[in-house]
Amino acid sequence: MSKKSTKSCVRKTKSCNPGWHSATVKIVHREGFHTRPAAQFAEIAQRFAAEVEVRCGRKKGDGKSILSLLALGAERGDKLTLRTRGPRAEETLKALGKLIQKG
Amino acid sequence: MKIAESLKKECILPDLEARNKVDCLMEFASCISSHLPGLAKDEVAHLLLDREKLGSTGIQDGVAIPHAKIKSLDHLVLLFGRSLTGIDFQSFDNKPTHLFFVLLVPEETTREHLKMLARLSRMLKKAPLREKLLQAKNVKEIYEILCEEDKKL
Repeated sequence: MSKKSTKSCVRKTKSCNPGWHSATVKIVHREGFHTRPAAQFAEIAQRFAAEVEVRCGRKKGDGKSILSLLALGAERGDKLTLRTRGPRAEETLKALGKLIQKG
Repeated sequence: MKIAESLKKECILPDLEARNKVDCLMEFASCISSHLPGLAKDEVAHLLLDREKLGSTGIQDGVAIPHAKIKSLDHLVLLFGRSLTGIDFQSFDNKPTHLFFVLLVPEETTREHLKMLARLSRMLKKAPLREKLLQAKNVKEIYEILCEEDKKL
């Protein structure tokens, strides 16, 4: 669990926009964030109504779009910042973070 | 790695005859084996189909990126195909697939593979570009559109 840090922007951090929940997760899959994990990620994200944004370095993607996620080109060891906002945002964040950590 | 470095004009199929996933992948396998004689059609088709069994590479918005790792390859090979009628590729958004980028990569080249996937995805998420590819009249036009777009990435 040490690889993941979750913080609720609603509760504290000044630097975050209100309403956003965010978590940073490290890619552990040997082949990086390739088609299958990206498809699984988007599929889970689409089950929730919350907005999902994924950042990798300076690149930003829509968590519900496989093409957008693949465009990040995230490799093993890269850190992804997941941000969610809206209905069940925290639950959405947890489900997606868990998926990335699982590899 | 630029798209133009991996895609040859001979590997652009502007009007796929296939009407289903298996025939479509066979068509690509047949094309690549005739241009790279070291690659057997059946082996390529088999590997592409095996990958599909793990989950469809039909992504969204009429785009699919079938791919496979091939032991005998020493460089990344890209093929492009277009189906004007659309093929049921069991896409994630359940829409028919029109644009196919087939990626054949040597084993142990995860990084290159990922970078090419990212490059293609950055390009293909733009709706006007997808439309341009659907409207292109021939191989030459498709190749030019891809090279021009590639320069902007």
